[in-house]
Amino acid sequence: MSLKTASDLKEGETGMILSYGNDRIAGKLLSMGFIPGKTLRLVRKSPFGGGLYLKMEENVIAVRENEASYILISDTQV
Amino acid sequence: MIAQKFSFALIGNPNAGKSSIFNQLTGLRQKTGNFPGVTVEKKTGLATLADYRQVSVMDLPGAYSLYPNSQDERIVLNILSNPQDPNYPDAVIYVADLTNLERHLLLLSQIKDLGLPLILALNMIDLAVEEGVFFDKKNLIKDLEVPVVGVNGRTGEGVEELKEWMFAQSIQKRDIAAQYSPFEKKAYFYSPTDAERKTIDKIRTVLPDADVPYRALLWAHHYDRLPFLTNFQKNTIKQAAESEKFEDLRLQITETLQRFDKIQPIIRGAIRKPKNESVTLTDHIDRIVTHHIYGPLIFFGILALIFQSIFSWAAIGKDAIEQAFIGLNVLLKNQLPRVWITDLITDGVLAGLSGVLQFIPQIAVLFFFIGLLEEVGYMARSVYLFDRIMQKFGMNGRSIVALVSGGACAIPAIMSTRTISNWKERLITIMVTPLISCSARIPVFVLLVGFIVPQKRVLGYFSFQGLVFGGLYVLSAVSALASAYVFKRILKTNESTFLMIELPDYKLPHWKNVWYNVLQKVRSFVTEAGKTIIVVSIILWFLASFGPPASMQRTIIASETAAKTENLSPRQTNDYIASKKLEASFAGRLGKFIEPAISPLGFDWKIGIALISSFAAREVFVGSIATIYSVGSDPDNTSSIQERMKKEIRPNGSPVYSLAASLSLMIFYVFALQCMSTIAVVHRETKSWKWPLIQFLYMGAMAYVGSYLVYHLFR
Repeated sequence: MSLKTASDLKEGETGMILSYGNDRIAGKLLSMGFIPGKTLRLVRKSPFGGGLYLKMEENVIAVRENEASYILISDTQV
Repeated sequence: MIAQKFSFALIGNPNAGKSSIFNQLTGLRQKTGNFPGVTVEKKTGLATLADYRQVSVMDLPGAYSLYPNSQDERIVLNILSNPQDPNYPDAVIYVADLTNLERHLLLLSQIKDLGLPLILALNMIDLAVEEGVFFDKKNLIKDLEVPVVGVNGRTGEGVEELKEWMFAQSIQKRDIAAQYSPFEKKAYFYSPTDAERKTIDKIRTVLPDADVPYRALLWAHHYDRLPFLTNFQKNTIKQAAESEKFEDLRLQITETLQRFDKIQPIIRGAIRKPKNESVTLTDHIDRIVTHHIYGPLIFFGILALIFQSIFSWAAIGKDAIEQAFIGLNVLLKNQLPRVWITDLITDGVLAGLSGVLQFIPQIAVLFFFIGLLEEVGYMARSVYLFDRIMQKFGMNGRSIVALVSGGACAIPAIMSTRTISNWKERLITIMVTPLISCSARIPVFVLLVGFIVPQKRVLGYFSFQGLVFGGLYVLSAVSALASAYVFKRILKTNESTFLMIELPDYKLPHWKNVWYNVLQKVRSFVTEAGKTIIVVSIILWFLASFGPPASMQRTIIASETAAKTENLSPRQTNDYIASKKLEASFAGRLGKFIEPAISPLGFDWKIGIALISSFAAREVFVGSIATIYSVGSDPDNTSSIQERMKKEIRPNGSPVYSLAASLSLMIFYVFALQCMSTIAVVHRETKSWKWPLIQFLYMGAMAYVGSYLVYHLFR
């Protein structure tokens, strides 16, 4: 199990949310249900770069790459 | 005095389906307005319950929590944390989506801790059951201690039951003193830390409304930006918070996590989902719609469709309204006595009214599409697709829709920026949208391009005139982006920009919601921007019809004699007098007055008059030029104006409409904000005269400098 952030994910990879490296981003994403323990999947990246399409259970969000770099995740790849 | 109606607020996460339930409850008995000081839409309506009891229902903007990240969320906080607020509800109908209940319960738990009576309206139960979700309503009611009603915003199923609960709530005696029960004494969702408790106790001793502990806690978090607190109160809270080392963001996170700790077991007790992560319809659609090649293609395809419908289909409606007004104008002029009041009605009020009403088809069409795209869940995808590019210009993915529809008309385009939640991004979009060449510039361009560009073909196929036309559009788009870039650099904001946007599940649109949205947008344009437009129209009419009385009188007599000696036909006489009257009017004087300022651009005072009068709307330019050159009533207008323009010479014998001057005029119309309706709408959308003024000046400056350069380059 290695420590990384959601911006390190490749398309199709998943990771479990551990915590956040930025309180403001944490505040917003937590209120949208992205709480530690949930599994996150990077579905795809936006065509012109910069945007990530993330899925957590039924929730889909788009975040910028630098925002995703504050989502600390653990590798859940089997 | 009649007692205030019992009031409900509809609250829920964005995309929870609040609007559908609002529409189901209130039907067309709804009003839209704005929350004080901001342009977030406020929708209120009346619902009739049993016994003909009427209650008011307010649709609050979507929010994820009482820790706001957007203007929408801030409004929810401002209202719910202030019992003195006129919009403070007596009870809350909380709308949530069963398939995603865990997240939705966060805000519900916060509202519950505020002590507000609640009804939980669960949307999309049918959908969830279809997906194999098992739902135990009794358990949920027991754990949440809140009435739960299943509703379907689409069919209206469950709305009657919801109304029964509303009725029950509305006749319940209110717990007037929501007596202070400290966090230890009551089953709150959140039990605060020591620092928080001490801060709350300090706040309570000085602020009477802090009787609900969670409310006091919210004040401790947000006092700085709560508009209803006095400076004294803010200072008191600040001191309390500082002395307890109150860590705003940290405590917010602790609170949120603790709430989810309580919510998760409740969810486990009430809902069981099929284990495996299923591939949904939304996943399938997004595989194409957000694809890195098909995504943008689909987006531009949709934009092309929208553009086409505003540009040509809605234009049919626009022309019909214009023609109807022209007909009415002629009719009134023939029927009514020829006195100034007739002119005021026809050329002032009716012209203004026509200037308002003719935009309705375009506004309706654009908002039909925007509402539809929003309803089905597509809008958020466009933000995702274009965030990076638009970010470079200080705008938002949604700005693209405004910019492209600005190519048809800036009025609906500017109104559409409301969906952009970041103020700076929205403002930049508003500021640059009128630079995009709109349909009102077309008549001016047709006249001028037809005049200066020869009708030949380039490379055997392309029309030279068409190429120049296209070039004007490219110029407008480039200048809009460049200006946006400059604004991005200049404008300061303390609002940090985030993407972090939810991409909701795709769903079939509720047509009712789409139509209500169109109706509201049209209504708000007519009632709010409409006033300004009519006033400006009357002022312009006055300037063009009146002058100093003595000199006007002299002009009329002199031109009548001149017409007789020249042996002009009755129509020519009328045109001639109209032209001379315009010259002697205030507008004419103004044109002469500004001549020194515009002659460096190659314009004479006659063009000056046309510039001033076309401030009403750009297309008025053609009509004014026709009046000035007394070809006003010539049936074959454009070509006769062009013929007449060729003959127009300066005192030194050179043509007025030289290539340089004509190009300069064209550039002027590309840049200048010659549209009172735009100014009225920008005023309405920014709630100030500052931004329309800045916009008018910067676009005016670009027009002046651009025209100056072009004139001197080609002379």
